Formats: sequence, C-alpha cells, structure tokens
Amino acid sequence: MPIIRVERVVKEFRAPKRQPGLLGSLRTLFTREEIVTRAVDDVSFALEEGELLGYIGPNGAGKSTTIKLLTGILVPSAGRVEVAGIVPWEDRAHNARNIGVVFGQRSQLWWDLPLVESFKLVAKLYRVEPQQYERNLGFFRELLGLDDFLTTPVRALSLGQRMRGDLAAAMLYEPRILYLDEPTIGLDVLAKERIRSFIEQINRERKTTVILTTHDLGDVERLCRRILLIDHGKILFDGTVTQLKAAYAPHRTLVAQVAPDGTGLPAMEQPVEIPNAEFVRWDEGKLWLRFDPAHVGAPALISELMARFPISDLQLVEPELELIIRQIYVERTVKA
Amino acid sequence: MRRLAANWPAYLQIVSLNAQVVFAYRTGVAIELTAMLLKIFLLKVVWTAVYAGRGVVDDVALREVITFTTLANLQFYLLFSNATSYLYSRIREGLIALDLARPVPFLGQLMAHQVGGTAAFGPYVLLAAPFAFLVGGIQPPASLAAGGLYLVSLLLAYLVTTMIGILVGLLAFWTLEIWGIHSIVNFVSQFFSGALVPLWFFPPVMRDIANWLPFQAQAFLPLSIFLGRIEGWAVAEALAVQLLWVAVLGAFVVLVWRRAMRRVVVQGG
Repeated sequence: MPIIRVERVVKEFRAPKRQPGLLGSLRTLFTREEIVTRAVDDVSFALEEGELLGYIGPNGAGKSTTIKLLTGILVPSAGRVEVAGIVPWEDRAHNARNIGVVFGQRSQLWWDLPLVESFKLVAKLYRVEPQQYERNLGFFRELLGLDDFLTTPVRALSLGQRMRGDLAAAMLYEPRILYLDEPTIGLDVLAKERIRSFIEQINRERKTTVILTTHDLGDVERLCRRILLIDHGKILFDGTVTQLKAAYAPHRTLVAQVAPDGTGLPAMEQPVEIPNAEFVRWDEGKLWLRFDPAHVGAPALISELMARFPISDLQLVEPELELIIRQIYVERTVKA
Repeated sequence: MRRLAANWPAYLQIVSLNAQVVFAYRTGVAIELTAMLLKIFLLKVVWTAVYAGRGVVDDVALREVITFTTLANLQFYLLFSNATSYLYSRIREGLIALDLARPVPFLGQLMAHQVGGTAAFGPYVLLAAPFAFLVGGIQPPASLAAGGLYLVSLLLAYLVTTMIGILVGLLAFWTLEIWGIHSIVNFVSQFFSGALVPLWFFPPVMRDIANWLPFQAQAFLPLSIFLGRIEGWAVAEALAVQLLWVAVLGAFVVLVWRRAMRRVVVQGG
C-alpha cells in the first residue's frame, strides 16, 4: 500500500483582480472581479514506503503548493490526499508526527541559541523519549559531523552547517516521511555532497520516504531513481531518470578520435555516411556521430567505424539531464 | 485539557529557550531598565512641579500619583507583550509554515513564547524595583489584602495585554504592514490605561470612554486596588471587569485565529 497517495488534486487560489495605476487600485477595492490561478491542476501520484522521489519543475510550477498540501497547511480545492493513512489537513497534529520538513531557505533552528537547544525543543515537541533522543543525536552527530558546532549559536553557523542542523532536527523523531525543499541551495560542492550522502543513507538504512524538491539536477542524478516533473500545475512526466532520457532525448553521441595517418587530416574531414547514424561534425580530428540506441547498438556502430577509420580513442556521450529538462521547460513555455 | 497536559513539556521548553534568548541580550535589557528608572525619576519631578507644594489635587495625593506612575512603568515592562513582533516575523518570513507543521497547537506555542519572555524579564524588573522605589519614593499597598488582590489583578492585566498583543500580531495575516496600527494601539492603550496620566484626572467624557475600553484593565484597575482607592465590592467589580475582558479578548483571538487559518489553508497566505 502506498504511503503517500495524491488523487486528482486541484488547488486554486483566488485573488482580487488588480487594475493598473492609482485609479485602478481604487477600483480594485470596489470590484469583486477575481483572478483564479490553478497552482496544482489535476495531479495524481502515489509513493511507496522507502522511495526517494525527485520532484522537479521551474519556479512557480506548483511544487511548494504540493508540499503544503502534503503537510496539511493547505486544503485542496478538489481531490484527495492521504499521507500514511491520514488526510493531512483533517488531522494536522497527527500528520506532523509522521513527517519531517526541511526548507533550504528557511530554518526551524533558534537563531540566538546553541544548536543543541533547538534539538532539545524538537525532542519535547514530538515527545521523543530520552533514550531515543540520545541514540538519534549520536547517530546524526557522527553522520553529519555535528560535534564541531553543537554548542555554537545558530547565527554563527555557516550555511552548510545550518542545513546539517536543520536536517538533524527534522529527523530526530524518526518521521517516516521527509520533505526536502531545495536542501542544497547555495551550498558549496563539499557541503552539497555531505547533504546528499546523508539523504541517501537515511533513505537506505532507515527506509525513510523522501520527496526532494530541487533545481539542482545533480541532486536528482545522484539520489533519485524516480522523478516527477511538474509545470503549470500539471505533471509532465512520472518515471525513472532512464525513462525520461529515453522519452525526451533518445539520442546518444559517439565521438571517435581518428588517428592521423600519413596523408594528413584535412583531406579526410568529409561528411561521413553510416547507416542508422547521423553525421554531426568533424572537430580537430574527432568525428561526432549521433545515433538512437533503439535502432543501432553502440558496438555495431563502433565496429562499422573501426572498419573505415584508424580509431585511437572512443567516447560515448549520454545526454545530460539538465539539457533535457531545459528543453522540456522551453517547449512548454513556447506552447503555453 | 488532556492535550494541554501532554504538550506541557514542550511549552516549558519554549519558555526556557525564550528565557535563554533574553539572557543572551542581557546588556540590552539592562539599558532598557536604566531608561525606565530615568523615566520614573522624570515623572516624579514633573508631578511634584504640577502639584506645586499642594499635597492634594482633585482628591488625589501627590504620593499616590507618584506611586501610580512608578508602578505603572514597572508593570509595563513586566506585562510587555512580545507576541506581536514574534507573530509578525514568523508570518513575514514564512516560518509559520514550519510552526503549523508541528504536533503542538500554534496558539499554545505562542503563549509559551510570551510567558518565556516574561519569565526572563521578571527577575530584572524585580531587581530594578527597589531602585524604582528609591527614585520614585512610593508608598506600600493600602493593606495586605490590597497587596494580594493587586497581584491577582496584575495577572489578569497580563492576560489582557497579551491578548491585545496577539490580536495586533495576527493582522499580519492580512496586511504585511502592522507597525502603524501597532503604534496606534500602543499609544491608545497607554493613554486609556491611565499609565501616562491616571484616569482620576480625565474629564468625565474621556473617563466614560476609558471605562468602556479594555485598556483600563491593563494598569488603572490593578493600581487602584494597590492604592486602596477602591475597596470591598468595588474591587470584586474591578476584577470581574478584567475577567470579562480576558474572556472577550480571548474569544476574539480564537475567532481571528480561525479566520486566519482558513485564509491560510484556502488562500495559501
């Protein structure tokens, strides 16, 4: 049975229609004209316990609204949401015990006090038993390297340290589900890796279900098997990273370094015709070919090439996730 | 009630953390209290000049006025509500979303914040009290009973002040600019509570207005009890008026909170 179930959920926001200018803003006060925006438009998905979902989409796509629906801060205009058997907004307090929430841009930690004080409060808020608290704190101290700054006031922490603190605070009471909203935003490479490996580890060892919202596709490629792509409130894609690549960017690129022979290179740099492959260009003795693995296998293509040219080096280039996503965003924007 | 008992440790922890925050800013607190002592001193000088050698004006003795203003100032620091600024910053920074995703009710968390601030401030005020007595030169409570009833009345004044502070803070759900309203409410409440000029000196019309407003419950009523200006049934009446305001404002807080929540859950804030 899925731990998270979202069925045909719609969330509309109403705001008074604003007229431009000073006169317009006066008119706004007296008209009842409203603008209705659909932040989430007929969204359905289900998540099994222990899944790690990458939830991606451009700014304003409806990601945060979905997370707020799951935490029970928002009530949907239509549809049904269930988290660990609870309808979040009907029993927010109960739902709260099952979920941990971390916002990269906001902190739940007490600014003026040593980090450990915030942990103590979380323990009391969620009624964590002293033994469980000690055990979990010990675990996170090691995993996130908290020892260096456990007694430092939060305002004196670096962004990376603060994020580690926030992650520990959200996991102290062992929630079954963790919502992470851009947890690596603004972090350097090392700090990012630390956060990523923590997420990976709690997902693997504690079977915590994770929904990861991010703009950093490095996070997604490193962590998520499954991704959910949302834009304009609608789900564009739901599946694995491999499936996404197959669906949106089926082509691979083969780059072959042709060994120089006695005759010199320039004469050789003519367009090449090879069945099932598309010639892209010559570039300093490198031949670029594009092909679809569904039509021709890389080994077949390579042997075909080797038969024609003296090859000294080969490179198979996978399409980058970032390129694919960018392409999808652009196409959607043009269509809309 | 059972939920309150279960959440008690969490509330106590919030109280304790708040106390630590105030302690972290103890220099600021010390400066504020010094300013308060200066204010008490100046008020004494001015009122003494106003009385110009007469012992009693409008049936009020100079010493009573000075006692009144000195205590009103001390009380002000004790009753001070940090709920407004706390609510404002939580809402403005969007942190309310985190607060709402807690298993403990937010209004309870808010009350714990308020009590925590007071608990940390209390010792400082008590420390400053003897100096205030020296600087101001005030008289003791009219009787032992008056002193005890004053403390009860002070507690009710605390609740009234907190409720008003929360109501102003909740406005941040509808408008991001609350400081204009905040300073108006502050001024009106200081004025009509009698903390600036005791209500005895108000012209009859304004006195009537003050009687119908909740603000007299913040300073004038408890101090009248302290000074023995009201006795017997009048004291019971004053306490009842305060209690009524606690109930009315408390109900109002819950109502506005529910509306705010509906706005948040439906509109997304």
